[in-house]
Amino acid sequence: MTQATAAIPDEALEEQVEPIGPWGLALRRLLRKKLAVAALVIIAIFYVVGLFAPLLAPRDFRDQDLENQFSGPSLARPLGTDRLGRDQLTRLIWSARTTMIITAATVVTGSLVLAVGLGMLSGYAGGKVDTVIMRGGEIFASLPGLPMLILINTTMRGRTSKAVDWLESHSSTGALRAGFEQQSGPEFVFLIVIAILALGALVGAGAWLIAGEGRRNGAWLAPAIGMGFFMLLLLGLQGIFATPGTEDYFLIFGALALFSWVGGARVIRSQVLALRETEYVLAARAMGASTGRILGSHLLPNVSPIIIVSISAGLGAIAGSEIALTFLGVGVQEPTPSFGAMIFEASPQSVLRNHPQLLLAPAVIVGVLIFAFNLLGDALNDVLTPKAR
Amino acid sequence: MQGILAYVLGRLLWLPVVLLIVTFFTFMIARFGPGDPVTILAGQHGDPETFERIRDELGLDKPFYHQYYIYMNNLITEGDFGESVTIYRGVKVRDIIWPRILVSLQPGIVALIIAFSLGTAVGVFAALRQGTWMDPFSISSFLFFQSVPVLVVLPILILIFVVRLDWLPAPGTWSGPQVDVGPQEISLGIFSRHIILPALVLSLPGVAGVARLVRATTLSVLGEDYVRTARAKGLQERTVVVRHVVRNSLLPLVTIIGLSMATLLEGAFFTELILGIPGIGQLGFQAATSRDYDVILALVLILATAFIVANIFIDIAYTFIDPRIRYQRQDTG
Repeated sequence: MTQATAAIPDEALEEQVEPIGPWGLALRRLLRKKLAVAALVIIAIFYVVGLFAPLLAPRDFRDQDLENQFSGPSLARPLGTDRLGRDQLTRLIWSARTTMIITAATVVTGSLVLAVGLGMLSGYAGGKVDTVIMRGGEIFASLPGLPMLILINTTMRGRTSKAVDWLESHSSTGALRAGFEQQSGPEFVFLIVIAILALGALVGAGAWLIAGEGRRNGAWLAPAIGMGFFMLLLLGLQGIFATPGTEDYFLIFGALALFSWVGGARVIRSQVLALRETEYVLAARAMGASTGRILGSHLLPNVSPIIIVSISAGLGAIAGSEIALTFLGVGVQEPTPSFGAMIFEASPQSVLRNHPQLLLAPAVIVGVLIFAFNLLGDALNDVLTPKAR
Repeated sequence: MQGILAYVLGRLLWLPVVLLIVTFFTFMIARFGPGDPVTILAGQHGDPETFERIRDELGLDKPFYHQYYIYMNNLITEGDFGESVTIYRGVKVRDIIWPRILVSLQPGIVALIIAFSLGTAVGVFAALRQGTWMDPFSISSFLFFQSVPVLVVLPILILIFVVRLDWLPAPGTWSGPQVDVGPQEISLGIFSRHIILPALVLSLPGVAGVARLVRATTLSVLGEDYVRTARAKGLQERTVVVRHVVRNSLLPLVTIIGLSMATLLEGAFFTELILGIPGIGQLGFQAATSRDYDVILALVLILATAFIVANIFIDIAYTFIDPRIRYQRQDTG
């Protein structure tokens, strides 16, 4: 009895000493959902596979073995080969990389830069700026998405590839690619320096985001978030310039970003509209804080849960759009592997009848991945949106 | 009432402005793209005179803004969307698109009916079993179908039902609604076995959205006083659910009809391409890949108009149905 009573104040004291920040609370709530954790694990595995595709793939994705077309699963080729005798497992692994690059690039450009930037600007500035941005968004939202994406991808391909060629020959991207391929020399060192700078910036940004909320206890999350972003960025860069078909990637994520910012911007705008009138913003303004400071350290941390929710809700759609465009033949071009191309090649009836395994592997992976994206999005919405609590 | 009127008027006045900007951008993208229709028509090795003649015929030698002016002038004064350049040389775009819309609408409408009725049933079912495992299970099993893209589900369904079981007709042997561009022939074939696959595939992604909405509203309705009153009167649970709960929880469904139409259209591209249905999805894809400018423009314009008008009407209908949200709309933009 005395032991029990002695134990309680101890625990209570501990809790008092270490209160959990809002991010910690959200994380705890998220980890309590089994489905969400499963989805998170699936997505993490997928991204790790995509990240390390060059190391994991047993063969080159371009290698054709014309004597072993449509061969079934065997020890040498665990998932068999396609119509050109290319290793199916290798192509799946590289397709994961394609999806990874497109989702990461679209999220950074469309969801982060465009949606957050325009949403916050629109909400905070109000007036004419608000009207112009929101009306523009309405026009984008009213365009039929898939037909417009098809149109842009068919008509702009030549221009994009010219632009990318120019970029590669007039900037150091060619050098970057050489640096990656050789893993040595001055370019590689330069790359490492860039990487360290990017890491520092991202960790700093993460720490600032979280510390801006005034709760230091959540700060341990900053390095984790920073690391995550950093790995995505670096390997996305490496992926873009070390995988053939650079112009396809630019074209697709450019077009997707153009159409994917509206929803996020609207949500963020309405939140900023509400937060703009709060006492702490008034107090900050009264103390003479600049607009940049109010937006950056007072509003951004408070809309960041909503940013995360809107990003995670859109991820599945972005991944799906790339696969759909490639399926229709206007996305990533051969020989760059993509789930869309694999499903397309496997869906004619003659192939379906005799080699259904060619369809099932990519179809199951795509189905499970997009389902996982949506489950995670739902869970994050539950955890981070105050209304749903 | 004044408020609604001003709101409706504002929305309607905004419509032509949006459409003007939409056409301008689509026109620009289509005209500035590479691979012009002239090369497609004259062939790679056509002589310069032929090139010149075709260019002149199509009006492509005029400056861009002039081309746009001519196009809009024809459209507004005569309702003329121009002619198909590459797919069906010389046929009016209007005559190509209209029968195809009718073809696409058939699986679309069947799918919409399936999605809304099945979604309502699942939503009510889940709400009545709140707290048991069946509630999250029933919703998330349809959430799976919402997540998985049509282009993944359709080949798998073909594999199962056509290739393995041989229950449904093979794709590419479409004998449902027929369309012919010359003398227009459309046979309305809703009640053929061909409608099953496209309608099923198109409806499955929409079920989860409807089910979730119905579940949420049913749960809130179940807590209302009038439901407690109905139960207290001694009505059978069945009567309470059908007469009092379901009827009141269906109202918000109006809001997602527009969204469902958008999903249907995206799905139509894949079902029509894979199954060989001669609808607008297939046409749009053909037009985009063979650079049939006027067909693409007309499609985008018609679809955009349909979406915007539908959304405005849904907005208006909803403000009439539910007076509580009548005035909130204006400040949320």
